[in-house]
Amino acid sequence: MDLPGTPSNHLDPRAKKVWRIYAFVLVAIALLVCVALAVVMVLIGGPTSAWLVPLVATLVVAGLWIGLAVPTTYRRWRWEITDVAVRLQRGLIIVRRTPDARRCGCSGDP
Amino acid sequence: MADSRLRKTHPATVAVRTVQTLRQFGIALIAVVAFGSIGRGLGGVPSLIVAAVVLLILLVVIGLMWASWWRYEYGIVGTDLLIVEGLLIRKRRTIPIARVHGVDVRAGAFMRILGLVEVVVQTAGGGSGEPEAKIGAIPLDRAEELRNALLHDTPEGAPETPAGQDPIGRISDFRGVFGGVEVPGRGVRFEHKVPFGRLLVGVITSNRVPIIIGVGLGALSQFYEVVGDRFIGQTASRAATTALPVLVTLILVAVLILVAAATAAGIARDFGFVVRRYETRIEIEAGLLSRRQISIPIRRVQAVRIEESWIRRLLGLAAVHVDAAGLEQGGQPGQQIAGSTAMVPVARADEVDDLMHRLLPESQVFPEAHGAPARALRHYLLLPTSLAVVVAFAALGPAAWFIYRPGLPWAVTAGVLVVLITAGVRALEWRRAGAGTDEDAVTLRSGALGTRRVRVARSRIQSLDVRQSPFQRRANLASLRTVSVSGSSRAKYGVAHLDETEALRILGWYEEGLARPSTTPSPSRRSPRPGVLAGEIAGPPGSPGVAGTAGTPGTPGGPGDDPHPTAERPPGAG
Repeated sequence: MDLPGTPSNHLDPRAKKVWRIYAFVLVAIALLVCVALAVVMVLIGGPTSAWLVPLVATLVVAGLWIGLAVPTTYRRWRWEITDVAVRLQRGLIIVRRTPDARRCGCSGDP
Repeated sequence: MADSRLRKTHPATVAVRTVQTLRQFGIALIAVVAFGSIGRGLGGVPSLIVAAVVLLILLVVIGLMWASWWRYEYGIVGTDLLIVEGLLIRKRRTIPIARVHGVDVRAGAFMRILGLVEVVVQTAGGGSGEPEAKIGAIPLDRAEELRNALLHDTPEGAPETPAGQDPIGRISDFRGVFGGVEVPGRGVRFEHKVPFGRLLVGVITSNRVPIIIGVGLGALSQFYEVVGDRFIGQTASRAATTALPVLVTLILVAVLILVAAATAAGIARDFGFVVRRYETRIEIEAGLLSRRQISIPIRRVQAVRIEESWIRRLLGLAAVHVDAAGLEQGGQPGQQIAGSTAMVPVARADEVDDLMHRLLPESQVFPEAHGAPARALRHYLLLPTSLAVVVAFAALGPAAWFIYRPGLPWAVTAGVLVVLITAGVRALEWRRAGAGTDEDAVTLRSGALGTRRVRVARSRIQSLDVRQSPFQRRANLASLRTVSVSGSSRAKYGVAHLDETEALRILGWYEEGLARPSTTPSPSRRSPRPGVLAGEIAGPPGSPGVAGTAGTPGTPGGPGDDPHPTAERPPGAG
């Protein structure tokens, strides 16, 4: 459930795609590191857990991020423009709401 | 071609700047390298070469400072402060005097002996970044002349002061301390000097003492690294034969020395603390060897903070701080922006109200703060106390169980005590927490054993946001946070676990303030949902929104509907 008075506008749905692509890139890099680690471990005869644990952790985090965090962040992210302020609400777990002045100098500087 | 209207700073600037530069860029490193290599060289390099390199660095720095001084000129040209500088690339900076907001004057011990000061110019566009210009070292009389010119005054003729500007006095205390004639400033509406005895109490009860003790003990812990195994071994064997009272006395002496050092540092910083109120600004002057005079225009005061630490509460003392853009940490040049300085470092709590009335009546009234609701107590207690339980028993339990079983009851007792203390402190935090607004400002109240109350004028809030975690969401609670000076880590204030409706009402109040300068706010809104916050909280659906609109009579939160008719007074108020 959102805070009362939530700004009305969602981001463009394509934002989810952008965040997912971003996440995929980072996950791909993490997986490459895991694979490299696995290769090294196999070559030197190291324990399987040394590369299996990071690999599983990466996959779990990636799944949570792409499957859960992205849609939740999208749902939380709201904006609205009024005559005086740009209202933003964002956050994954802790939701933060702040209005910002639309124009520099309209914050009442005497 | 030289401009006859421009002047050079004093040649001692070279020495002053050299010392400052070396202090900032690794004099300690140079010293360590130099002294560490005496006799044995550095990594096989003979000591003489190391010394020569250090000397060369020193000469290069002095040379650069000399060249920089040689090419630096300043002067008042028409209605501008003109600064021409640059070794290879000449740079002309024109600072319109109309933009000058404050002129600070500082002098280290060396400069004061020579009768020199540094003038720091703050401008409207300075924000929280670096000061607009630092001119110095220059003679005291020239600094007074420059300061007067920049603040629109003449040294002698007070009546010539343009409307809205203050007459500027002589920089009196810079002379007075060194035996010159103390010249009273003109146009001073109120002056408050902190007596030495109270300053001493203030320094001892400040947070500087525990910090320095902590740093001192940290440094002592590095003692082992410095003196080596042999010395420690010998000392330990001697200590083993020494009576316990002697050891305890030695530890107490060490702590006393650290307290004395911290007190001396505090006194040196705040000695002769004077705060003066002029028509449009506050002037703060302090320092024993290195003296500073800070000028804060009233319109640049972003927030006022009244603090009473637990020990000061016991003694009936309080401190008043002001936040303003452009203030440097400790008033020292080259240090990072703090955004906050003590206006009254220590005062009796019952005289704070009167001092505020005389020094800063614009910020005297603190809106009444409404406390956190009863259901918030659970949130104050639950997470920190649970963490305390985990940490206490994780730290003490295994040691007591596996290493010294007879100590188990003591470990359990200690763990329970830690948990109880944590819970007690958090319960006090819940009692102190609160926030409230009136037409002009917001008060944020926090603390546990001590208290802190902050008043931020609505028009001076840089940002305000409401945060809500999933746990808070279920209990209809929210946290509030404001920033009064952008870029300053010290000018952020928050209150946790307020009632959600109250937090959102304050958010709406702030948003409403964004529109205040607009005399005729447009009734039309671009938002597809009119008056999101105020509409839903302050009035019925579809009622006018936030900016410049009237709230529904009888509902809280409307601009003309002050929910807190009684104002909270600073401590000591009758």
